[in-house]
Amino acid sequence: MKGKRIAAIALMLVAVIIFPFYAAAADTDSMLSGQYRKSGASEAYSKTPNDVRKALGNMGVAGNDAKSLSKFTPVSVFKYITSTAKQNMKSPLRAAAAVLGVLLACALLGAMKNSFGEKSLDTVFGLVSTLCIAAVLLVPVTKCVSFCARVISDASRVMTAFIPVFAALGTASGHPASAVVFQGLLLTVSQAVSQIAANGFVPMVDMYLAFCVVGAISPGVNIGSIASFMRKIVSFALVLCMTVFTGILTVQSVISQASDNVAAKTAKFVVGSAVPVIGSAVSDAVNTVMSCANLMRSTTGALSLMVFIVMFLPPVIDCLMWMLVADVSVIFADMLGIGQASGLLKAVSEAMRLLTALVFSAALAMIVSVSIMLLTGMSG
Amino acid sequence: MNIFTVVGLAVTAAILAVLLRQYKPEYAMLTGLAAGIMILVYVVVASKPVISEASALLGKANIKSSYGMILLKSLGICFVAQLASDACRDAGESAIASKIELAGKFAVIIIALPLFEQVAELAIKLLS
Amino acid sequence: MDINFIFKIAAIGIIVAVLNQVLIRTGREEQATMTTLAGLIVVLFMIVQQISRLFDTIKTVFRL
Repeated sequence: MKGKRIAAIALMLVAVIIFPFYAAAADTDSMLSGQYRKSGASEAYSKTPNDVRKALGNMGVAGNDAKSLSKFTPVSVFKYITSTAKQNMKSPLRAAAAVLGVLLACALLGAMKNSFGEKSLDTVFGLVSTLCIAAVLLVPVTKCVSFCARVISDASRVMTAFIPVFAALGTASGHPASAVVFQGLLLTVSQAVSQIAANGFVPMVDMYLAFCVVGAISPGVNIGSIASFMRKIVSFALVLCMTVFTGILTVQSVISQASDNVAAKTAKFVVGSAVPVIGSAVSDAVNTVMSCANLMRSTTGALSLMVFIVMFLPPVIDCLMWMLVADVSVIFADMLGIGQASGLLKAVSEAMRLLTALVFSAALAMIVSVSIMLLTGMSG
Repeated sequence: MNIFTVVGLAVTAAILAVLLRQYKPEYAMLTGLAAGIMILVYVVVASKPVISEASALLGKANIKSSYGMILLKSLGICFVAQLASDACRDAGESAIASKIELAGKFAVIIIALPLFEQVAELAIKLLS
Repeated sequence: MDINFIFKIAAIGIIVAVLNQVLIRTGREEQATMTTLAGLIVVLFMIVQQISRLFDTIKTVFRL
């Protein structure tokens, strides 16, 4: 898979340098659809995963002409978000109910504690109840983790499918080769981010979860320090990657900054506090992303952007749900005074936070690089 | 559930036990044991709705219902073992009390073996 | 929640204690020992009934 990607990028660079530049066509509409056909965007669109195409089809986007694309309004996106959230909410809620039941049973026994004698029976029961919580929570959580990993690798495959499209677009609008080389650099950076996320970080999140389970079960063996060390590594590496990425963005200063009005400041604040782990590193890039949003006039770019947004929404919603469930359960466990279960639940919540940050950074990398490609491919 | 009944019974039994201890200590232990048994029966019967609620919650999750059963059974084992060990300790036989606790721990672990297997499987899958 | 049960046990205990003292003072020590043992056996029977009731309840509620 890696060889294919490198070959696609190299092919794009070669194609841009060798092909002659076309002149601009006459009418905007026919020009746009002509661009669409020539750039082979329809084949690229057919490579997107089936459920993404179905979701877009539900919103009225058939991916063929500009009019259907205009149906991608914020309202339809919001409707899609709520319907996905409702669908994905059942499983986490059921698991939350089960965890609550286990905690209740634990509290029942805790009331029987003999204050003078050894609490050995209580320890054993705490162990069994922690195991039960682990079995209840971890099976769907691992499914969520592998779902996120799959979505990230799917998205990078879609990106690869769209690269020649963008190259053709850039060539068609008569853009000099040097800027396209810069774009190639940015594209490789975004691909690197998604590769690292899918093959490096997700296994680390898995290992962190496994360590936390083992640590919660055997209170004698002190694995907690190893687990927190792994968590620190993953957070640090994520923040580093995102800082480098946004640094490259600002150095390139390819996109003129949007004015720093109230809306921009609000968005920066929300991103900085709401996105876990990488929020502060990423809130500076919000300006760039917002000015990217102004550029979505081209049909192909808008389509690919929509594909990415629809693709990345479900995993983010999933992770947020599980994080919420884990946090609520931590509250219950602390209220009932069950230490072992509380530790395990806190670990699960941390892992979900890391995962959300991961998916968010991969989505950001792809969307920003798409926007940059579009900008230099269009304005000429 | 009437807490006053329980409290009244418990305090009366304690007083009687103290009274009997000077003359016939074995009767004191028996009184304490009887009081413990009655209170436990009362509590268990009164907590039936709580337990059925907890097992209903556990059953709603998409897991094998056997895990909920395991938890419930180990709760019952812990109750009984705790009662017996307390009674023995009151009678002055702390050695027997520790043996009872040991037996209770092993019984719980044996019942919870499938749970152990499942979680170990999960951890191994996560690590690979 | 039968508090009378506790009173019964305590009453048997007190009666046995008193009888024991009386019998020992009057010199009939073997009868004293026998009353003690008889009292113990009676109380044990009563308690075993209660224990069996407890175990049945726990078995049904916890489905052991």
